[in-house]
Amino acid sequence: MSSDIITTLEIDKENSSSKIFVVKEISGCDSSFIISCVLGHFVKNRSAVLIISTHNSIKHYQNVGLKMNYNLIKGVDAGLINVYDVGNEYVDKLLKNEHLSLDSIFESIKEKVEQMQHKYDMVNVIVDGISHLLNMQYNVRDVNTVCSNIIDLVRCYKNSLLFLHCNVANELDVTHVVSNLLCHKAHMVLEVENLTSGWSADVSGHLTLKYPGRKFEDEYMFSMDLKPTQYLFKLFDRGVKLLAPGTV
Amino acid sequence: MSSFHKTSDSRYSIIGTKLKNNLPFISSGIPSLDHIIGGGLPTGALFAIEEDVLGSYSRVLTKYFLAEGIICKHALFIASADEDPCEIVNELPQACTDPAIDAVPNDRNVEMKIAWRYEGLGQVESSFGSNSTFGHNFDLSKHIDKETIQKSDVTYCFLNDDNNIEFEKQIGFKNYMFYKLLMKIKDIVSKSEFQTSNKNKNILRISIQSLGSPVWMALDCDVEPVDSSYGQDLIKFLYCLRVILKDTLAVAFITIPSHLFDDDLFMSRILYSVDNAVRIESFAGSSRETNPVYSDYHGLFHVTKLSAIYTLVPFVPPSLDMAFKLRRKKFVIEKLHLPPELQESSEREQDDITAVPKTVSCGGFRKKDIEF
Repeated sequence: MSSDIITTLEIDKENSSSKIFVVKEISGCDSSFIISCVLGHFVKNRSAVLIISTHNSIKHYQNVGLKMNYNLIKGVDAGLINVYDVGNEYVDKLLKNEHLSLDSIFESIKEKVEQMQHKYDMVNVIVDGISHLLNMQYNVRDVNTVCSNIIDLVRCYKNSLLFLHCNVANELDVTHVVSNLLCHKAHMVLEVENLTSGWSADVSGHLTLKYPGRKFEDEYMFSMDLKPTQYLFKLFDRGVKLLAPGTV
Repeated sequence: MSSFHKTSDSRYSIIGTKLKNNLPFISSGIPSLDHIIGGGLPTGALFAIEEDVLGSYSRVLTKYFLAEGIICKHALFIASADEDPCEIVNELPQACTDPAIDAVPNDRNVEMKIAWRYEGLGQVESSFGSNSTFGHNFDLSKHIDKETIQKSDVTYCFLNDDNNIEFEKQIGFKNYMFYKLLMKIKDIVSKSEFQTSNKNKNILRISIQSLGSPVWMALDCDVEPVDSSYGQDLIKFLYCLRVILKDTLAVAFITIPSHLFDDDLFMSRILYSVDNAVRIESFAGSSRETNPVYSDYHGLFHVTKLSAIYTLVPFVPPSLDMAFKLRRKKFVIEKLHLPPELQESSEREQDDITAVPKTVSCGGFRKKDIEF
């Protein structure tokens, strides 16, 4: 059931270059379903992944993965999947009255990616909550720098994918600034939004795809107006279904 | 006999819990609240309540949460900066001994003969969780005796006392109280009985009362004008708490007086770190208190966030328009209904000088405008 997302993101196609995906969570919507779908794709294709986790635990992704018919922990044991829990490291240091700098976080990420690079040709990276870096009281400049460094790191490797998940608390907030900065560097932006009218049993939310990276592709070089694509999504225990607006 | 047996997972046989999505859930002490947030409070998660203006109902909810813990023999950790946590425990309500009283009206309904055309319709459930066997109802007029509480595993953390010299040297927070509370919670959560992998397990119920009250935020308000650092300590604290509780058997039940915050949008930042959140809007002191539309209720109940933990699909509450009423033996959350008829009125609307005009329009007058 994750095929809808995989096809829409076009990550099932062979790419010669790396791609950056930015996922914006608007009005409190949870975008972890995209990570679960993408992880399933990586596990099934035996692609190496580094999960930089700040929001959800690996147990969460494992339990969701089991329902979606893949076993994340087996991948972790095999070395295919590496998990870097930034939140845990940060809190451990904080309670010891020490400071964890964003530079040292980036160094750890770089080290892990390079280690995996020795074994696998391509290393995909997923960051599941950039906004939590702001909650840890790092400033916008430092967060933007570390994200740019991660983007540059992934771009070095051909065919690698980077997913950055960013929560937007509201439009007047620093989280909005950071997400906009990231969107400028993205190949594709996925905006995930709750229904404005509230919850529904038929639809879980809106998914809007924007393509800032397409303007550099030959195919779209001369089209001035790249229109965003809009979908409705419905979450199930075993996956996600995308629906065209008006078809529910 | 079928050869297919469902094997029950004995790892989660902790009293007062039920398993959903491979995750133990506990009761909040209010069956109707459990029902509207998806079956209870998930372990390893934060549950936040935005307090009502006077804080009276949020305090009652905390008492229910703690009393349920005492009954289920869970460990309790009670923290507060505004009042001594020992005093909170002294007034915990006792569980109702005879749940049959509530069941009587339902039995009568069954005996009633229903017209054939309505027989096929589903039963309208305006009061949530009334048929639930999970959790208890409590009698607010009776208190749990002190002996029972002394026998229970209760840890108190009064943050505003004077023994804080060791915490004042920390660099993580402007206000040392956040650091002190985190340290205490980390110490207690790291005990083996609250880890999921252990055999002798128990649930830890953490209650933090009025987190973000003026005592917590005093240092943020010292800086004039209030800059972007306002509330940063609170945001950081909640994130750290989220990380500490992740994948443990602890549940944090936090009440936050959000109406006192300087920044209206600040709560949306907080909600990102919290798993489930609700907001209480009491009628006490507002014009709605005397409004006949709300005469059956004490306030409105809003669900502001529901997370999907260990699953993809978040729980969808049965309704978004909910109201609550506090009875002596029950805190009930119901679907908001208008009363059948507000009041008797005369046949011709223009003759009714007591009627309140719907909107201000030409020729409309109000009762209060008549001076004699």
